[in-house]
Amino acid sequence: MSRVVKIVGTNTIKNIELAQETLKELNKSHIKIENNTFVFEQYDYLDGEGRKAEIKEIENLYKQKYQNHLKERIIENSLKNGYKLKKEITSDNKIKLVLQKRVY
Amino acid sequence: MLNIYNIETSNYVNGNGNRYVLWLQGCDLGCVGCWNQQTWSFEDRIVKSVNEIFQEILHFEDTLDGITFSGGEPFLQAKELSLLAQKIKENTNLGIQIFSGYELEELVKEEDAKLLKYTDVLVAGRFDQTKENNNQKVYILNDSQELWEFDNTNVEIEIDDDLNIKMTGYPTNRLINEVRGI
Repeated sequence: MSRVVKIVGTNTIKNIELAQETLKELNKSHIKIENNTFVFEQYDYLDGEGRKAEIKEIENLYKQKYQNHLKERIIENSLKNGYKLKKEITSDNKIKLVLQKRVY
Repeated sequence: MLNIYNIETSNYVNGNGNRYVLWLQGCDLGCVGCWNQQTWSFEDRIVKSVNEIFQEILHFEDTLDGITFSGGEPFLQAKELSLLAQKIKENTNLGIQIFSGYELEELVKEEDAKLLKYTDVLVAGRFDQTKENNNQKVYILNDSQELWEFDNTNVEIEIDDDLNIKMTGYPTNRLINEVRGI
């Protein structure tokens, strides 16, 4: 029987460079990063709905970038630990890596 | 009802091809070095009906090569599981593979026999990580099924859009710790 190991993700920004890249790409220079979250100035919006949609857009792109960053880091770690990448599948916003330990 | 530890609707490291994998909750074998000790408790975890699981399998049927029951100990829920296996076999072309901690010779109850009747590949025996193939034997119970050779070198890592990471298969502790540290 195989193992099941779950590592819970976090909503806070863990990579400032990627977060800044996200803001630049979406042209959101009015949005700042404070305490590892994206923050708006109070005067940005009169009502909160537009703000919610905008922050969602930013968070989604950041998560996508960070997901790819995690993938690269994991592949790097796996190779270092003697695994080879057999398969990479992306579907339903999930990235799946199938690895095999090299047997010498 | 079935008491379940975890379900993967697509998994490549628990048998041949892409499989729907059901880890059952509850085991009293206490194998030394068991790496799924969180599945030992018999307290309810994810409780689903046979029909509920079967409908989910049907939903993914076109993408799947087979179904795998693991654990925990699948044969401790053999009565309900055999009903699910029967539905799968009578309504789909999917093969069934089971990982059990029992030896084949120990599976003598009526419900065990019924579950075995629908099983294509059985991987059986007390888990022992220090022995070859984790001390388990592979029985091909249905000749029409593609042969599966014991393989504990594969790992699957899934990263979802909420940045949760799930590792299944046979990752080394070192790899798990390194991924945790990312």
